[in-house]
Amino acid sequence: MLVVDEKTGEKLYYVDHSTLSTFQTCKEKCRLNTVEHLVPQREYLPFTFGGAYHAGLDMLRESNDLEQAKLNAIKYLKKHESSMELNMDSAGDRRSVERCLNLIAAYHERWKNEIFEIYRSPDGKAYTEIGFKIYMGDWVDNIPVMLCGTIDAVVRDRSGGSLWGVETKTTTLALPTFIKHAKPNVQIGIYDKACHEYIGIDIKGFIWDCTYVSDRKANATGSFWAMQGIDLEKDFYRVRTTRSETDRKELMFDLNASITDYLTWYSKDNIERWPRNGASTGACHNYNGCAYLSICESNANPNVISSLYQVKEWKPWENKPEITYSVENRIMKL
Amino acid sequence: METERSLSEMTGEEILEYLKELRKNRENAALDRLLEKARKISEKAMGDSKKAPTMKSMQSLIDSVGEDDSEC
Repeated sequence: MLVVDEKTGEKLYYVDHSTLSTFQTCKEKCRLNTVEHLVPQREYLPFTFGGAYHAGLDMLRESNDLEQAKLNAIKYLKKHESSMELNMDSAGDRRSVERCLNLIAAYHERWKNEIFEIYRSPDGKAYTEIGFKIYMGDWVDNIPVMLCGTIDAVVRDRSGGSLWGVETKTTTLALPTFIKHAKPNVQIGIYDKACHEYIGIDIKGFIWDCTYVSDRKANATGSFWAMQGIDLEKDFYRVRTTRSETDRKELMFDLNASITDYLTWYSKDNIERWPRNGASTGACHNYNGCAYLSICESNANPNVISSLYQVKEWKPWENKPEITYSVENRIMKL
Repeated sequence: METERSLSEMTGEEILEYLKELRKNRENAALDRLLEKARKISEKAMGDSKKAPTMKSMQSLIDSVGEDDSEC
């Protein structure tokens, strides 16, 4: 989407994996989000739950202090004015504050003796939440296109010293299936390329780090973790995934194609809407249904839009580093 | 029983404390249920035999107390 950088005043096109992925699954959903800036009034619990879990893990990685990690997760929920229920057993949804905090504690327990440690700079700063923006070239109107993202963490193998990126995901899919999403995976591909070619961290690959959000109730007479609705073995899986030079080249081909496709639609004037292709890709009903389903079902009834949605601009430049990683000789043309 | 609280009306520390309390209450309630069950079994054993429990009846009592009561 087109933004004006608040710091420099420069016009830029910002795209990230989420935008491109949404565009692939439903163009109209992508327009509602990145052109109209509509967000549902009603809280989308998977988003806030995942955000709080990440905030907790980020603090845990940086400080190794579980109490602080839990407080950071709560801080995130409060900042987003979440209405998530506290009690796991009475919550109408599998996502509750209690389950989120229990999962953070269980994650700590599950991986505390792992072979990896957080990679730190010489001054001790942890490599967590590493924002990046990559210059992909100029669009046809000579406005630069930036691909941005945030890498969860970089860890170091204690035995061999090799570095690995980490991408943590929460899911309600069974983990033996979900870990197969590690490759092909465009998000991992982008992060891998960012580490290798722009940020300058020589990583060996990525760890696809998955957490299962179950609907288990607390089993008060079970084991310590069962009492907290957790199965320490089944709720956490990890798999290592690597990318070759050929993979990176192929990724750029795909990325250039999808960014060009997205910006072509984005640049169209006087167009009422983009194609609703979610019904054929499954996007309308996947993951408890699309957040914009009410709009399509009512054929964009303005009353539905004004009562169920609010306008909130996406600010991808926030929390991103000052530095821009340049790519030479890659000018995008229609 | 604690009344339901919401995220917005408590500080982070209060939420952690509330959840600790919630867990303790759950454990206590489960323990009470187990003790009640054990008391009933014990009463039944005493009533059936009209004499002090044997090693066999005690073992059955222990086994039933140790059951994983997932319905709790």
